[in-house]
Amino acid sequence: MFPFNACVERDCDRNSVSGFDRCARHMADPRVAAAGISEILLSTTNVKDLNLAGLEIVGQDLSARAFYGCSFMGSTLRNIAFTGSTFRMCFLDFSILQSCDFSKSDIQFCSFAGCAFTDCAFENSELVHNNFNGARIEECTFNSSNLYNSRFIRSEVTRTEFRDCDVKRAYFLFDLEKDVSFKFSNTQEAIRNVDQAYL
Amino acid sequence: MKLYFQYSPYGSSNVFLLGCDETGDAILVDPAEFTVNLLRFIEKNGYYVRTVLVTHNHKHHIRGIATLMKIYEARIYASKAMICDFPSTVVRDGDRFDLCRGLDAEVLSVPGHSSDSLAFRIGKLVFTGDTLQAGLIGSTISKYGNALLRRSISQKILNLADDTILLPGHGPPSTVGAEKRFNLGFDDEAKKNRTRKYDLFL
Repeated sequence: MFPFNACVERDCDRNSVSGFDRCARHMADPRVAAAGISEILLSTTNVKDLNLAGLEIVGQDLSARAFYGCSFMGSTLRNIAFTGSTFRMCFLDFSILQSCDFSKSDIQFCSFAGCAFTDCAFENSELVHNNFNGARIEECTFNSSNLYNSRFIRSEVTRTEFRDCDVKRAYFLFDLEKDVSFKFSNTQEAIRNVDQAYL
Repeated sequence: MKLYFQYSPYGSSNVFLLGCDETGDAILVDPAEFTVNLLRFIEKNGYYVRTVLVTHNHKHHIRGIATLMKIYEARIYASKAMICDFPSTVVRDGDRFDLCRGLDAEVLSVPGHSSDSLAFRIGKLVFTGDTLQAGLIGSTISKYGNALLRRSISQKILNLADDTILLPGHGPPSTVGAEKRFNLGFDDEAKKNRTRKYDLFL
């Protein structure tokens, strides 16, 4: 798990970015940290315990990588290829993800709560045990993915496809869905009301 | 410190293993099952399970203790004196104890789901057991229990920093910031939609 080293700025309760003594908000120039961390990400295939919360990373090919215990909380990720990647116990809460490709990925026990996804692909992926609560998901595809035990509580899903997905025990509670397709998915096994959640 | 997660099909529960690389000590949280795979993993990493943290005395969170105690001499921390017929160290709200070098746990009493429900805070990790899950609060058997649980969660868990990580007994992980905004347990409209309000979980 990424280390919980506190930011040295007075009264700041956030964790410092890996390799730095401050969180992204209190850095003079977070782009320097983002560039340094991008180099680390590009040079290794196993990324462990890295905290890059609050940084902005744009236009990288990070496909076929494994991320373990990393924090991307409050980050902005644009045009990133995560194709064929593995994510375990990673936290991306309240991040902005635009045009990111997670196709053929294996993502388990991660949190994407409150994220804003636009034009992201999660096709042919294992998306088991993940937290998408409160996420705003626009123009994304989850086709042919396994969403077992993932949660979309209070999410807002627009113009998005969940075709041929396994949604067994996937929680879609109090979510807003507009132009969403679940064609060929086992929607009868999804959790659609609060009573079912406690069975 | 390393943190590992194992999904247990028994009760769809989460089992967590914290490993201290400096000392080789390991801490197991809510061992629903103690499987051969888990044993192999512990041995492969050179850990010795010295501590077991029990958030509450429900079978689908503790059944693995009987097997575990045949292999390791672990100390159990819980709010009940006996867990699976093994004596435990009884802890109360606010207690702190050392886990391994430089790592200590704080006990948070969060009754409601069960009278003995605890959460354990270790740095910025909180093992919430069945009191709080991603988007939901634990089920209760009475209106009083429900109110008590909500109050305890608000006062002891949701007052922590937003980036505090919540590791529940069931379902995916979350953070304090996410639960403050999206948890249905604090949503009156969601409560209205529920017909069987106070079922026991599982």
